[in-house]
Amino acid sequence: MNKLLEVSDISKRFGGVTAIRNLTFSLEKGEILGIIGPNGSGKTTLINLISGIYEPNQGRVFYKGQNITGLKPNRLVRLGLARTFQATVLYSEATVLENALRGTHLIMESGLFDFLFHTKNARQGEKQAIEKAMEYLTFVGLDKVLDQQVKNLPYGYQKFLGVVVALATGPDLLMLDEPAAGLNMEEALEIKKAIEKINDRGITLILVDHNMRFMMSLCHRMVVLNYGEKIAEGDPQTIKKDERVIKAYLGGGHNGPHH
Amino acid sequence: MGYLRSWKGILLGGLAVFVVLWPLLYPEKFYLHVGILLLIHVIGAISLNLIMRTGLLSFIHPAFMGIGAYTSALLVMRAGLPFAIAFPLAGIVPGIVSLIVGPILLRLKGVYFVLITFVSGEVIRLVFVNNQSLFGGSNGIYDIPSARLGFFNLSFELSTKISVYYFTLAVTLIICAACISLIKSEFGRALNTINENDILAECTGVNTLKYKTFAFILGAIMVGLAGSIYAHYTRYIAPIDFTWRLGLDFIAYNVLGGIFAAWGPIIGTVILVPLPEFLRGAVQYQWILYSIIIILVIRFMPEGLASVHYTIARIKRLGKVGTAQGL
Repeated sequence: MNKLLEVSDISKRFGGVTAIRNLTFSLEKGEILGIIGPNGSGKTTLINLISGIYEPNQGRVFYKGQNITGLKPNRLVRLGLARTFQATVLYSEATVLENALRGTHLIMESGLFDFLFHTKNARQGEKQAIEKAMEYLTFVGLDKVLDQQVKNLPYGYQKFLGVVVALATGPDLLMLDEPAAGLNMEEALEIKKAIEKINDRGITLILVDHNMRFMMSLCHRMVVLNYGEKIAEGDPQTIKKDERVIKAYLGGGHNGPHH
Repeated sequence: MGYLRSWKGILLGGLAVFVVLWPLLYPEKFYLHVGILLLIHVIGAISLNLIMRTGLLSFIHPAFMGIGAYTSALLVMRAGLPFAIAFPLAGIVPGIVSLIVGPILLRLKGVYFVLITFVSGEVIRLVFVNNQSLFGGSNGIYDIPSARLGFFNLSFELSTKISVYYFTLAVTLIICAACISLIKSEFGRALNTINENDILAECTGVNTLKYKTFAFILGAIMVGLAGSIYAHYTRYIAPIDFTWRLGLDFIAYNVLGGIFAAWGPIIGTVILVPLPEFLRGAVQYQWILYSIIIILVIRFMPEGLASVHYTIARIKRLGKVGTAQGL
């Protein structure tokens, strides 16, 4: 089995609302998978389910063949499954470098003894963490603003930093929730380049975004959601022509899910 | 940075000399008494600081102090154990209690956490009140023997205030050094991430529940030791000594001194504990003045007294921005 991630028949309900219904799909290593769908179709819920923020009511998620359903985010990150957030979720009081360093947190495996006495082990870990953080910050061109407080940073930079923090955890699978939302054309182009570079490093990606042109140009394969259900799956060219997708986006007289 | 460091060095050195010489400078019993209580409260404040750093206000802290105090008193009086064994157990027992309740309480956040710790603390206190035979009920336990260092024949009784002062000072210094060392390490950084954004912290690999529980347990152990010192010093403990009011005091020390400054809780305690004594000249206004001082500090130095240099830097920066924008 060469599947990196397998989502098997998962459902998530919030009270009476079914946000995700019997969803199944899988992901090969090295792929860029796009998840698209109209507002409220369950894209972010899906990311929250895979990254462990929510637990599904039904179904299972496998990562590298291991059942990861219901595991906490901090465990999943250790297994190499990282994510960013739709809003720029960052440590806004801290500096750019500190934010990136916090991403590298799990590189450091020092114990209580190391903490108390600042042992060689702890100091070495810290040096390693700074090197790692710097590498990723340089990678997206944030090395010019290392000492800036994040809350004073332009929105575009904050978005990039969100990716760096996730990247600094050393993931094999990176999920980006709306990486291009709120960015101007130039910045969107930059983040696209960054995503391609990340993929070149062998990191598998799941992208969620509204910007169709952005998604079509980046993704190898796409899953389309509508009312929490998968209505289509395939490469961008197929998706573009799919009748149900067009209907879901432009409205074809259907208000409810297809059965 | 170099001069700041040396400044700090001089200040710390001066402070160290001062606390060591305190009993010699002011040998009156009253000053020694204030000194000992101050040190006990420093332990309370700095141990609570660990959990406050994650953004949680815990009111269960005095109850852990109470568990430590009762454990130590009962082990010495009923079980006949030497203080040298009862003292560490006064840390271990509240540590075990916090290990059991911590993972449950710490799933809650914000005002829910405040309420549940408030209620849990009162429940523990009511156990002391309602168990007459073991804990002496509302009357508490009296005639607790003074602390004795060492074992059986080779032991030294801390019967004078001056000996209690130095013993408490030694324990306080060790606990403060451990706390500051932890806060400045990767562990402290993890606690800060939980405070600033716990979901992001989870998603960058911080096991938030584990870290919070760990800080909670360490705090309970330390304050339990303070409880033991308190019990053998005052030689009388009652449930009323460990109400939520004491928890509020611990929180006030932290807020006044600065929660996120390593020295914050110590500075806050050193100022607030003796403050009512200084305001004795105006007894009827004592608590009003006390409150006004706290309000003024919170209004003008939200980062606490330990961050005076930040406040100054911020005022300077505001001035600069003002001129740059032509204001």
